[in-house]
Amino acid sequence: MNTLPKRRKISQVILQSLASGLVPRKGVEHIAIGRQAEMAELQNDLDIIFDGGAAFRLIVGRYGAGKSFMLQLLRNHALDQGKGFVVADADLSPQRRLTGSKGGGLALYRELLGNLSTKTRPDGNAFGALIDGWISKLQTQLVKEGIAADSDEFDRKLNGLVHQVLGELETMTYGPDFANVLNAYTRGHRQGDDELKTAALRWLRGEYHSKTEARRGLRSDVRVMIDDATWYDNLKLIAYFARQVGYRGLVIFLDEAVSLYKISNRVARENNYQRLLTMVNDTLQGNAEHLGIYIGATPDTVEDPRRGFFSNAALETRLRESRFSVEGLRDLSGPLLRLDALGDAELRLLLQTVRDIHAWHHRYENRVGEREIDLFLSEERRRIGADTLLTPREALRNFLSLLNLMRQHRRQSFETLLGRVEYETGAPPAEEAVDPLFADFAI
Amino acid sequence: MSGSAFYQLAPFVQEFIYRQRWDELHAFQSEAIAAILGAPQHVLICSATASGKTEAALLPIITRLHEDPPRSIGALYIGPLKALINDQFLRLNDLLEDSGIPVQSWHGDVPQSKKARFLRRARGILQITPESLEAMLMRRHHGLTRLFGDLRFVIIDEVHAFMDSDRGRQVICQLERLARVGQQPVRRIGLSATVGEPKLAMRWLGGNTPLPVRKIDSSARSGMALAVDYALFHAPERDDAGMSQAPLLDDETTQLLVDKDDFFATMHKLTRMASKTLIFANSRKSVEEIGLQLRQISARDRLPDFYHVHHGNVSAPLRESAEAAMREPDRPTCVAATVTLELGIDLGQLDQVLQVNATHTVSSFVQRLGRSGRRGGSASKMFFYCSEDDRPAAHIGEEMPWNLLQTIAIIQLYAEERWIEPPQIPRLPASLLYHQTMSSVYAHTELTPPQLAERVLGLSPFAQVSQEHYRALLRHLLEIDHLQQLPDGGLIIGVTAEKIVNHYSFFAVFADETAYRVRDRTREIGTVASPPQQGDTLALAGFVWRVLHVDYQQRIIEVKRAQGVTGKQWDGQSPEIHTRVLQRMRRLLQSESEPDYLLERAKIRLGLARGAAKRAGLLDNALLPLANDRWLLLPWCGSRQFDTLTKLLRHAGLAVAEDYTPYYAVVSGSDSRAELANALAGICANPPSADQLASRQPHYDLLREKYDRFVPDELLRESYASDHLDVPGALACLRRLLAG
Repeated sequence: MNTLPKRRKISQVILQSLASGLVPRKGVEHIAIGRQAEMAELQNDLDIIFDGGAAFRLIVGRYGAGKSFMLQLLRNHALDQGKGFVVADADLSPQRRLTGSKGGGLALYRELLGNLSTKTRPDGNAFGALIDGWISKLQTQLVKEGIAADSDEFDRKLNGLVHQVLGELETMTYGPDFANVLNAYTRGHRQGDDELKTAALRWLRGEYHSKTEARRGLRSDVRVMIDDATWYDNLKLIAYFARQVGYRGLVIFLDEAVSLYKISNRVARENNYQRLLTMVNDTLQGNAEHLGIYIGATPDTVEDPRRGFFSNAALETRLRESRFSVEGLRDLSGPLLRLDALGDAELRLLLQTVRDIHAWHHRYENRVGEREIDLFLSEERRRIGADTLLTPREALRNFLSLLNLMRQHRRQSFETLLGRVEYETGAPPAEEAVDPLFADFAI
Repeated sequence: MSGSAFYQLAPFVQEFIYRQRWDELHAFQSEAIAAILGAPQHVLICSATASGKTEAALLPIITRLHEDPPRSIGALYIGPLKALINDQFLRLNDLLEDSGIPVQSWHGDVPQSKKARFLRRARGILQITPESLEAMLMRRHHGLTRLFGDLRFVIIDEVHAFMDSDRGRQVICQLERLARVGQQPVRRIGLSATVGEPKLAMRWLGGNTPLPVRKIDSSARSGMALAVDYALFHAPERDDAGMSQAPLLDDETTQLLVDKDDFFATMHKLTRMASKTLIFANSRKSVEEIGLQLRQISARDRLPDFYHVHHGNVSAPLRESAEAAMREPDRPTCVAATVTLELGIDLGQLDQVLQVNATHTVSSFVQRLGRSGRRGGSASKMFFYCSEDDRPAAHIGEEMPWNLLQTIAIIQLYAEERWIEPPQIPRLPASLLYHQTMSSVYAHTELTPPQLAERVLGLSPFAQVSQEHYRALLRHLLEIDHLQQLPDGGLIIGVTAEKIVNHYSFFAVFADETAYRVRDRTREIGTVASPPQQGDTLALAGFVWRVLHVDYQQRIIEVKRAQGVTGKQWDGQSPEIHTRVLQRMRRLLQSESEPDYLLERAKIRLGLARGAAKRAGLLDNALLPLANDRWLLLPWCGSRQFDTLTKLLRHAGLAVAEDYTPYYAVVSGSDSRAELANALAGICANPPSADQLASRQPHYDLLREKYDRFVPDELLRESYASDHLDVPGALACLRRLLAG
């Protein structure tokens, strides 16, 4: 049974997000229904990552099956464990790919870094704070050891501790360059040189356009830049670094892998799948440590032999689920985690849960019982037609407008209000409105 | 330096003009500057080559971009050729450098590094071809707002080269697609050579934008100096010796006879009297022959060889060297060309234009005429040669000098009324519809059906395309896997089409020429651009051939020698001849007047034709009995109506034995006038629809534009019915025939 949120700030985020067809960024655990088996398996992943291992999972489900929801749930879950994981999420898109000729990979990396979060900084851009926190911790430790903060010894010992951690990084690919820049950052921190700190962060976020520019900012030689070829290795460095400074590891979440499937150039698509293969291999073969990668994908994106992940033979071999999996007895340990659509009972439970949150948030007595939910669901099904799958996203969107109507018009009957809902169906809202002349155009 | 326009220019632009020691701005330049700096409107500048059109457009644009720098690329220059783009701004280099406004040319030969550097800042002026612009719209869609969000001006060079073609309509689509990312209406500045009728160019330039078009024409139209000569060529040596003498050959016709060698010798002399001569002929074969003959005469008489040949089958470098030679001042040059040089790039003003046989249209005549005449008001000179082979005529239809009549009719229509054919705007440009659909989906990666329909059907060249039509196209594209639909409804490029849309050749909407080879058993006769069908006749290498078999895969046509004449050249799509031209020809035969540009032989031939027409009752009676139950039909209508008419006849079960589009047809198998008239009246009473006629066309006959092969058959038939057939027009002709 789900618990109600404790603060209206959280319930507001939940209701507003669902009303616009989005997965709430906060409080998602209050509306999680089912998925216990999957969550247990993923918890197991997190433990492995904590222990120095790595995990790679494709969360596979049709439109509306709850992939994004699952990713969000797992993200919040990972943030919350003890000191927590460092997490970063991003949607893949035409401009943000695993690799691309126009900087698609770098754009994805920048997005990830922008969304990089920790328990204390859950809203992104946490990388700077993470380093600051680490240095402060080292300083506190030295003070506790009784070393005067303004002494030369303090500076020397601090430097030693920093280099102890950075030294670990230097054996990894691009590690020396990464360590160099981190070192520049800590130097800036100790010397109160904000310009240098900013420059180091800019490099780490992949924001410099050229080496010349980076050299000028960092006031030292720069051999490597973060770009489409190197971003993934830098992500591995961040994972390792995160563990070194006390977090449990790095978990990244990539949604909308269908964007890779949509790429209309075979070579570009295959390059992306090749990069995906590297990630799978790294995590399965132990080349990555303290790193978890979770990717949301539709079944076609994975299985279509012409343009899906399975068009790459090596990737197909790696991703194929255990051959022994039988219907009903799913093997959840493979890299593919299939999400079935919510069943009828689960959908009902979800609507009840949202009904309760709505009533709690707006502090009113709710008239919606099981009969009303049944009526609502049959109305929904009637509108979208029998052969279309009712997705939680649409159902919730429409259900919330119904609840809002009921709250505003307490005297009107449920049936009347049911007819007044402006039902929205089909694809997620487009960026721009389509001319009414073409709004109903279908093939 | 005078004129208020000058003082409206930015100070450093004024300084530049001083430094260049230009005596003054031409009147049209001042006018253009004022117009461009004035209220928002499009401006069409018609002026001769090297008269300073580019400056007239760029000086005020540079001023504007300097005064109020846009936050993106501020001006786009679209030109039809890479060469043009490379040379166009050379004279203004210093000025552009002073201004600090970046300029970048952009086409396949420009190195990537330069392009990347320009794009990083994306300011100033970008010079581009329609094909490279298409590539940009497709591949840089997500950067378009940054690149073109504050675009102010589009300069379209050689406007006349873009009109009335899929390529021109593509440019319109591109401008409308660009307009979606901009905040203000972009002003279009069209540059055009002084060509006949600027009204069409004005309409094209304005498109569906709300801004008015201002025309600035530098040329005070000077008079025309025309001459029409006629020659009857000695019959070529025939295989079948012993045929009877030509029936035309009496006292009067002997005056008309000209030896082919003498004919070319005269032409050769003419080309040596002028510095620049352009010779137009209607077929590649004829152009080749002219080039060869003139060159042989030069070789024989040890005279300089400055002859070039220019048509679709000549390789691009050779064509470009011919164009370059034409532009070079004080270097005698003569180019024989097909329609390729009628509209193509600006060649500068020529001393004379020679035309071999009639042009198909009045507009063609006017464009070609506009090529000649030096600046400063000397008359445009055009010399026509009309010819016939002296061969036996089986009936009055074969006896008429159609070419000569058409030449005179076309000249008269323009001289008397300044009439020009109205533009033919296709209702269903299917090939371009396919192209813009694929380009749009590619650009966006994915579009929902409503989004796609809005983005494509909202473009003005597709204003007449219904959602029903579009649905049919999209269904077909899903079927052939050019598009793929995702479970949530979104459309993406299908795997099958990836090779096509990712290849650079996709950006162009015009097809590369792929000719069909014509063979008589093992002997190669030549090539034709578009395939006839089995049973058709075609004229090639001086003979008429009947088509035995067409191999569409190997592109080989098997033929056998045949008798008679044929109007079909199978040399690409010949432009249509308008009904008004045919009706003017008929009036020409009826009247007695002799235009004063006719030379002696042409006068005699016209007189003979008038006499023969009268004797045969050609003008009063449009159904003339021939031997063996055959009837001659003269509908006096344009080629579209004529073509529809023969289809109507065949549809009604009549046997069309000969069809010489659009002059006459011979119908066989009716033994009385009453029977034939009855059959024709039956067609009028119960005519088939255009769609019914189109349904009988073989599929390959519907393939006209580059991407027609990806369009579903039913849509191509509709396009054929609406854009190539005219049933009401044909029926009107038929009724006139019956009344005659």
